[in-house]
Amino acid sequence: MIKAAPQNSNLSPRGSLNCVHCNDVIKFPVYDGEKVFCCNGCQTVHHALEAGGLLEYYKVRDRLGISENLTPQLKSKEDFSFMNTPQFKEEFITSSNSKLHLKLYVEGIHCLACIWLLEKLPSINTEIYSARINFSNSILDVTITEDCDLTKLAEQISDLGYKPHVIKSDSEALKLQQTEEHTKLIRIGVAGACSANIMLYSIAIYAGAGEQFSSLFGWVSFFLCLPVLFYSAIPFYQNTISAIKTRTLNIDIPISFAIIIGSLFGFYNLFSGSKHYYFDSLAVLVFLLLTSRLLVQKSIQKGLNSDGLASLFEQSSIKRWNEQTLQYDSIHTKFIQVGDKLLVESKKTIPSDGVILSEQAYLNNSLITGESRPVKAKKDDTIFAGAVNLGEDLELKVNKLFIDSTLGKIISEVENNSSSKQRIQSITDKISRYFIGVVFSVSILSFIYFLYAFGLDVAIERTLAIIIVSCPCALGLAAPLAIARAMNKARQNGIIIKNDSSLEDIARINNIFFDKTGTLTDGNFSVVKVSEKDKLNEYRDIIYSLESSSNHPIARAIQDWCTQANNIELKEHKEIPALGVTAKKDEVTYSLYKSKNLNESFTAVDFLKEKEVIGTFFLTDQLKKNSKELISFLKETNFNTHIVSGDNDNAVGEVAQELNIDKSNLCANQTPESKAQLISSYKQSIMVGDGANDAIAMKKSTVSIAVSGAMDIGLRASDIYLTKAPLKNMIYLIKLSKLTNTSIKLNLVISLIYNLIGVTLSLYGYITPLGAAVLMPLSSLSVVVATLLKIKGNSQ
Amino acid sequence: MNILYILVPLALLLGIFFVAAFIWATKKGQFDDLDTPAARIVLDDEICISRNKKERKEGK
Repeated sequence: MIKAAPQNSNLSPRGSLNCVHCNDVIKFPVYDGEKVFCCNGCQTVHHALEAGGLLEYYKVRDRLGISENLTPQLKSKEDFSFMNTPQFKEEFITSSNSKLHLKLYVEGIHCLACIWLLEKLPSINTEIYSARINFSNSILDVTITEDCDLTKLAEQISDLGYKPHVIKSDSEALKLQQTEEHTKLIRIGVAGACSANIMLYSIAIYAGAGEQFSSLFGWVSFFLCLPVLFYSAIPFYQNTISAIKTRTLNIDIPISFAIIIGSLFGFYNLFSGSKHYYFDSLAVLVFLLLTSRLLVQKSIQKGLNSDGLASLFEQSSIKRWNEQTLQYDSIHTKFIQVGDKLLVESKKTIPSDGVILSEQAYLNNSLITGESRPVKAKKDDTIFAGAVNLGEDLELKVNKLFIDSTLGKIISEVENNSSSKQRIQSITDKISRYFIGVVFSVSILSFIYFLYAFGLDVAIERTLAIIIVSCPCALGLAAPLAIARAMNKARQNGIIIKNDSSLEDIARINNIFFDKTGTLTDGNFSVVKVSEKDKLNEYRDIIYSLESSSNHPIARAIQDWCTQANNIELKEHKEIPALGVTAKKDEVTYSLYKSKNLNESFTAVDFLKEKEVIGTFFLTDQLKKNSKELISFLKETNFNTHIVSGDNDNAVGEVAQELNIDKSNLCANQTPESKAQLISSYKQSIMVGDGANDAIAMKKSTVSIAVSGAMDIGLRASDIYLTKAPLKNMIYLIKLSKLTNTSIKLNLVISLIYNLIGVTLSLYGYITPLGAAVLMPLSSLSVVVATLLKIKGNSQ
Repeated sequence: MNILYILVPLALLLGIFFVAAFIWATKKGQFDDLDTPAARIVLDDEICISRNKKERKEGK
């Protein structure tokens, strides 16, 4: 083997054969001249690089030390010819500054070498002027010539091992969002600059500047504080007003209160000649709070781009019958109309509801029904958008557009329902309610006391000092800091969190609901049991060849079972619908028929020689790798695990037994609506699922987690999406959630201790302006340090 | 200490200038994408180095 390896194939130190493109150890080598590849995908990409004169890519990659995920994910070649239709160009090409732009969401960008490669596109395609990648949202912006061949462009990107999806950029919404982000940044910038400058003068005052200067510096810091009060702090006032309107309490109320009272008090002192200005504390408070909130928001946005997602579903091309040319044209699914005749190729998704024109079809409806077994459909049956065509190419006549289809309705319901979620009140909001109460009652009581004991002046001064010292800075920072930190950790492990409060909620909910198909199980058939294994092994080649011409999912699973079998020639090969296949070899009839001994939890297939049963295959949807580990972890951590599934009782029971889940916690034969009903009957719940049949239930649950499956629907419906090793990462997610909660509590304790000390000292009149100025940043700092120390470590 | 009457306004003017510069930069979209430019500059360097090496070799 080593001899056969050409000189420039990468022989690793261990002597194994490595792929020229991805450096992986080769299992089934693909030879191409002197080069060896591990798969056709790598070969294609390598050729594309060579043809474009971009072999420098390997050097760039080596220098950057990138060694992960190098194998391209070329699942199937897509047909991009729809991109050259005038209809498409008009819809998707935008022009700005007299240049034509096309935006593509490119799947598979993961490292710096990818940026390098994609931005080199103009050097292999002369019809584009420039290509710019936004690494954080994987959007490629290309400027193109007027008569650019878009199909060629898409094919080139696809040849390089990426998957392009066209995006229609809604420029107005985008601009609005951008302006909003700019405003946020400017607010922080202004607050930062002003607070830093105020600090300068405040230190001089604290250090004991003379009478003349201290009043000058007081006025300077007053003017510097104005932009903070009237510009940067606006979001706090807005939140307070909306909280008062809806009669809820949140942390912004005490913050706004402290800001307003503090500035009034400072202004009063400026005239009365006292040195207690507090402008520095206020400005820093606003600056820190705004910054921590921006950090949280940024970590939500990373890895999640709604623009890209919104268009994912209408990305793929479809073949439509053209009456004029009498052949199938490739079009974008967006342009499908009622009455169109479409050709859906094998393994592609049905784009809209319609009637089958072909004789028969095998479909996987699990996205809509949750049923894992393939469903057979006949001519004139209605099939639904979202189903996957498992059999041969099928023809259908569209009778509903996607937005009117079952799946489309589920999606729109999910989107309209976004406000109907049950929410748990966050711990910070709960505490801030008590906090406000305590601070108010303490200050009122002390005001009355000081009024009688020392007179009005002292009473006003000390009471206001209490309110300002008890400034909720650390309180306001506690949760966002911990959450931002935890979300960063989560993102490193491929967990996308859309809703920041859900991270806090997970650890506080007991009921967790799992969908079966695709969540706990693979969603694909595989042979789990065979009877008479040795005998069947003898006929391995015949079985393999019998099934080789069939596209039925069961046939494919049985083929997978026959490892290292050869395809031999059989005569009179026949496929009998609903029964199986049969063929002759050396005048002996061999057949694979559906077993007559019905067994509800398995699908059984007999192998027959003439009429004698030689052995039986039992097929089922297998459990995912980490299902058991996850369920036992949940048990240890006192979660109450449920399964809700659209599948039948037996299939659900089988899975539950294997996972050791209580029988009373199972719900089979559920429709999407009944799942949702079940979920809403629980006050707090976590729903884990995939696909559209869970989408409504997900929206009703307190926290929803989408694992694998259709990314677009999952992400629209769920709060959290697990991109890699979902079940394993769910354990990490739960641990992280617990850690976040303890960290938030710890932060709250720290800030309350500071407040307690501050209030006590000011009650006795010991608090000096310098003391307050030191105490405030110190409390914030300790919260930051505590968070950093508490939340660390990765999933491994 | 009378110099402060000049220095303080001067410092404030300087501050205003930088805030204005920050606002201008934000509105121009300088902070819209924080990840890619950071990566791009590394990449450009890599290529320049490798090109320079080539040129040097060819030159010899």
